Amino acid sequence: MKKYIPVICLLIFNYGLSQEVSNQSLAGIDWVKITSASDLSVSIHDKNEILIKANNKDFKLTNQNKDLLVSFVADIENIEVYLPKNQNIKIESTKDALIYIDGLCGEIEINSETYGDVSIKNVTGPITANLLNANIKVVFSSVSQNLPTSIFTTYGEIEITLPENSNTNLALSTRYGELYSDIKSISEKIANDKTNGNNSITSTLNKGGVNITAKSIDGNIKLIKFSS
Amino acid sequence: MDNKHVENLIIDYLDGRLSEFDEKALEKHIDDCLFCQKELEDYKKLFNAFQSEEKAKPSSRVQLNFDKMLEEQTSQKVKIFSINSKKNKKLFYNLTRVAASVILLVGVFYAGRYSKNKTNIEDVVNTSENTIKYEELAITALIENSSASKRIKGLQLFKEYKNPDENVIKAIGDKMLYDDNPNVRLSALEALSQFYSEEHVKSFLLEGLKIEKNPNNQIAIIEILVKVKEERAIEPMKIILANDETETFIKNEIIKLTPNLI
Repeated sequence: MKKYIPVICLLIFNYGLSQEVSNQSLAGIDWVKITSASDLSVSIHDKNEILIKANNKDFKLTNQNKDLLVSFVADIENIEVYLPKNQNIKIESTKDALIYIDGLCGEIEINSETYGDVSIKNVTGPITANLLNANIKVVFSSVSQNLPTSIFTTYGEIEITLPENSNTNLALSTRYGELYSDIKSISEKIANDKTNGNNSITSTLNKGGVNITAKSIDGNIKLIKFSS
Repeated sequence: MDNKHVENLIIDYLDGRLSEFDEKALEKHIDDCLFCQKELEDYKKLFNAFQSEEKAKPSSRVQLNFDKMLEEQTSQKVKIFSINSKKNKKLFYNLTRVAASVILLVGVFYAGRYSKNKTNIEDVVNTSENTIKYEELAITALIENSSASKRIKGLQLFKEYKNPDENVIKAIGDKMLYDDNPNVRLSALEALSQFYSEEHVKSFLLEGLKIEKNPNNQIAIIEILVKVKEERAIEPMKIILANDETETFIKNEIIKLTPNLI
């Protein structure tokens, strides 16, 4: 039994490290800019600070004018970042890192040239995303009318879920993929335009409103109605 | 809210966009805070200037300074405004004292800078909708914002313009070439759609063909140059075809679109 004691101690020590929490005030910060080579989960809390659950040696924080730069190294597990609901964030994913975002109502910018998929839910927009190989899923709880959303991929699939009663101007186009929607007016428009040889549609949903643009070269684009 | 200044919320407050709860909290804070009282008064003056001086024209000197500033800004790859710096506030306060017409011009531009935090610049544009020049200035301020979605918003607003200033077209051409966000670059390309056949815009397109690396954007530029039958695009396209790093579908599109040229 004695020979296992160092191993058990090491495991307990490592567990303690993985639970390490760091926080920093976001007073005066416009943008939190995250570069991550590891899977990353971003959620909200009710404090005006960034809270990071990760080992201190695995990330670096740098203040740059009114931005806070956060950089995570590769091969870390269970990174959790908590931000105030209205925080603007910009995320650059490297080394196929998966990105999860939940609940943010600030501006979201994402750039990725890897295979790491992106999942965003309970947001209102705007979102500006450009992905090369990755798929992206976005679930709008409601659609903010202030600023446009644009989601572009080269090979990845785009899936956008939004309330059917949203007022938006939609522009969806894919060069080699397929368009799909379970919203009747949009699916009819897709079917109609496809008979004319087009894999792109522009359409208004309800009264029209903020622009939502989704473009892909080779990926399918799905527009799904939100059901709570 | 009691312990923090609320200047970021004042425009929303004046526009009636705050919730009842936030509105009461803001009013309570302003009652006790001289700094925010001053901010509120300044914004009220600015808003009054918008309403009372819609047809005012900026002086040629102001226009000249703006053009110079625009040129400086567009020469930078990334533009970040620091609106809370003392320097900018001093500039703002000094200019607002000059004249109502100058207040209008600077106010639109300042509001554009301010919008990277909280402001919806479209409201500022709508406020001065009878004065095309000011809208143009506000759009220019938007496309220089640090937020990609605000830059795209500015470019989408610009697309509605019929006779924009040549300097603004140049600023948008520079966005198409050098903005760090590929979505913004593509939006700038689309914003120039009514000018594709003009020579100076063709120059931007030809330069874009050489330097653009994003596949979505490359395809868009190639399609436009083929559509306007720009023969100077043939050599750059040959280089793209010969480049091992070029995506296969881009090579296929070039061959498909230009069967007789290449």
